[in-house]
Amino acid sequence: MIRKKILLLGDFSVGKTSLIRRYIDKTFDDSYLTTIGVKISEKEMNIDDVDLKLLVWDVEGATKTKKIPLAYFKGASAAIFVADVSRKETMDSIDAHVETFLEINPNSKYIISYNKSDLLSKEEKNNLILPSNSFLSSAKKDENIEILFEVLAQEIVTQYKEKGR
Amino acid sequence: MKKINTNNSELEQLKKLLLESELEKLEELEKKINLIKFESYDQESILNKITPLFDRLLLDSLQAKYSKTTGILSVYVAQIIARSSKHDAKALSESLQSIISPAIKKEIEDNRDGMVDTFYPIIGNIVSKYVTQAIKELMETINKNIESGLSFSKYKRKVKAKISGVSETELLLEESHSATIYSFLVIQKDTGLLIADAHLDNKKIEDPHMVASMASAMKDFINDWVDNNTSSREVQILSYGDATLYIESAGSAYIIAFLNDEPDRMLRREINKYFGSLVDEYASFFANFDGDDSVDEVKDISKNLYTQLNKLYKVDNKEKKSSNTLKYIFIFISLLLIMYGLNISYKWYGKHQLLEEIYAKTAQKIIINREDNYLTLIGQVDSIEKSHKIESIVKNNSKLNIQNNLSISLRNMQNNMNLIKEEFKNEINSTQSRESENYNELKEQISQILTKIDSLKKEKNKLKYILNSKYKMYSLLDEKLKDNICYNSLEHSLDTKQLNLFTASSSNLNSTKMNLFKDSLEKYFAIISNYKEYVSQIVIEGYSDSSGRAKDNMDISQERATTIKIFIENMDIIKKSNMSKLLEVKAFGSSKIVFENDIEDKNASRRVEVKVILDNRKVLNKLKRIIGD
Repeated sequence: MIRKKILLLGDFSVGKTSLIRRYIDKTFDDSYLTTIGVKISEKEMNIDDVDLKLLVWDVEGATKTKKIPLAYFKGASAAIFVADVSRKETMDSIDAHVETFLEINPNSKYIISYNKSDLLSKEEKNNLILPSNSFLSSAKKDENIEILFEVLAQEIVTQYKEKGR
Repeated sequence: MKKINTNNSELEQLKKLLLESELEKLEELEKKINLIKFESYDQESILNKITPLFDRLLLDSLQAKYSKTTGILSVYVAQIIARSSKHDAKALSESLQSIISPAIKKEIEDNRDGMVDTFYPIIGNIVSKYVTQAIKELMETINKNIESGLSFSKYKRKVKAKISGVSETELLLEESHSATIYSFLVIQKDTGLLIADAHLDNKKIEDPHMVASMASAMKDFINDWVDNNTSSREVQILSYGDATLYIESAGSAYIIAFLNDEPDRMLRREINKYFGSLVDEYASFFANFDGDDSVDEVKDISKNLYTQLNKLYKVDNKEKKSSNTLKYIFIFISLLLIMYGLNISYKWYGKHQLLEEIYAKTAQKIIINREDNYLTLIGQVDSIEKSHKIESIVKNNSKLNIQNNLSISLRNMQNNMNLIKEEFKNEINSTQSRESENYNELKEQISQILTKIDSLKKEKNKLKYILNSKYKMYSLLDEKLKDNICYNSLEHSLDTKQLNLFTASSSNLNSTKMNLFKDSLEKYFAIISNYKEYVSQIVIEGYSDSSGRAKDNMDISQERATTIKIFIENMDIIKKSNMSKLLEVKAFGSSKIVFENDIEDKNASRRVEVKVILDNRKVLNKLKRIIGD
């Protein structure tokens, strides 16, 4: 089995914790998130006959009064960036999150989840232009959550195999 | 002399004229006499008059120093209380409670030293009992170290004290309690991924990988805080409940030792030395560890950790089992000292036998102090009778003056405490027995859960295939139809928004446009047919523009969807794959028209959409079946 650290990043209250809650096997208590700004969860998967265990670091969104240690970002194989489609500012700040992440982990993969899609009308969804490595998701309606993790896991496994193992 | 003839009324009138004021006074006097006569026969009235006088007299007498009244009354008050306590002790206790509590409080405030002396025989005994126990335990530990002091360890400790600058006493105390390591985790510094771990048999950690990540996060959090606030030193000790985590970093990894107590200097050095040797050997592996725990290095390190853990555990136990020779010498000396002390006490007071006699006759333990020509009796007794009896016993045995300072206990505190202690012991015993039963039950449940987890893991891989199939189908559709004008990649469906397939109020197909749509349908169903076992429905939705009446629009949208359904039914791919039974028609009229720059695009509104509905119930049923098993 291979184990990888992945990060769940994004602004405050974009639905990161709800998103992970839909998909994980085991998790620590939510109180850790409010205490030290991170909560670890675990998900086991089998991708192309490779047993993979994702250790998901759900990192709390930084605020003006609360900074998050950059040490949390170190050593992550991949990241899921989450934005709230009903709050434009959270979508705008994705680039900054990605930049910080890639500065620390230049070779790591990432994917973007535009969450809370249940708040959009069909027309709004049709008009939304999304980057290639992104998904519209809804933790509330359980839409595209599995695919989000599976696509990322697929990329991690592909990268792992490319390294010659 | 001439006699004056007058009648009675005239005489009365004359009296009235001459003696008016005297008569009034006479009448008033008569009233007062009647009142006095009445009051002299009325007891209540007499009591009302004289009681305040007696009260004042009694108060003056009680307040006056050296008053005889106090002496006389105290005998009766004591007797009254004694009788009342026999007759209805509960009522007496309740009525005295409100008086005694504030009195005791005030007495403590006014005469703290006196109260300490009074309470000492009870509270002092309790405190000394527990302090003695604690000292006894400490002495036992120190005895062990004294014993080892006769061996090589003594000289080793002396040399260590010289080198380290730490006093020998401090080292001795450090040795008097030793922490036990029950787990080792080696963790990669940046990722927080667990490289290897080892645990004592009965101390396994449920999910060491998550614990490693969380410990890593906590360490990062604390280090970040320390960096920002004081110096750049790293956190080394984390404590929670009865457990302590000792963290030592080196290179690109760190080791966490889980202990039952904070490690002393020696144990820390032992861990550091061991981890240093591990880092020397595996530095490159630690730096390049990529999360794969199937490699040989991980197994080697785990084995190494187990060996070290067991080695440290055995050393710790060995130390605990060392012999006790000097302990007995120390106890013997202590006993001699205690006997000597008792002997001195006996001589000093000369009252040992007297105390025994008091105890034999009254079952009361008291203290007798001698000061000049006085013997002072101190302590608490059960009743006034016993207090008097003790006083008379002492009088019979001594010619000295006696000062009786014995106090009466309102509640038998000692008995109550013993009862509570006994109850507490029983409660602990029954709790322990209950917990043992629960433990066995829990063990059985865990075993059943582990069996279920195994079967779930097997089924999980099957489910992965199903879920992956769904994802692959979507990926294929996206790949093959990405440039197709009829394909909607968000919903993985086909529509005719851009084809102008229908003219207004018509369901007739434009043949040129239909050829284009046919091409899209063939490509679409060629992929879908490979996954038909997961398809529950193929829905053809018909739409109209907003012109005209709603009912007409509904009808025309129904016709459009039906026309396309018939077309699809006749396609070879549908026939071959036997999918025609999955086709369904739905009409939406003008309920979902298409806008372009806030204006309705009527050509686009007049459309059909073809959607595939995947049968999630199949997956769900499968899951339910597994959970039900």
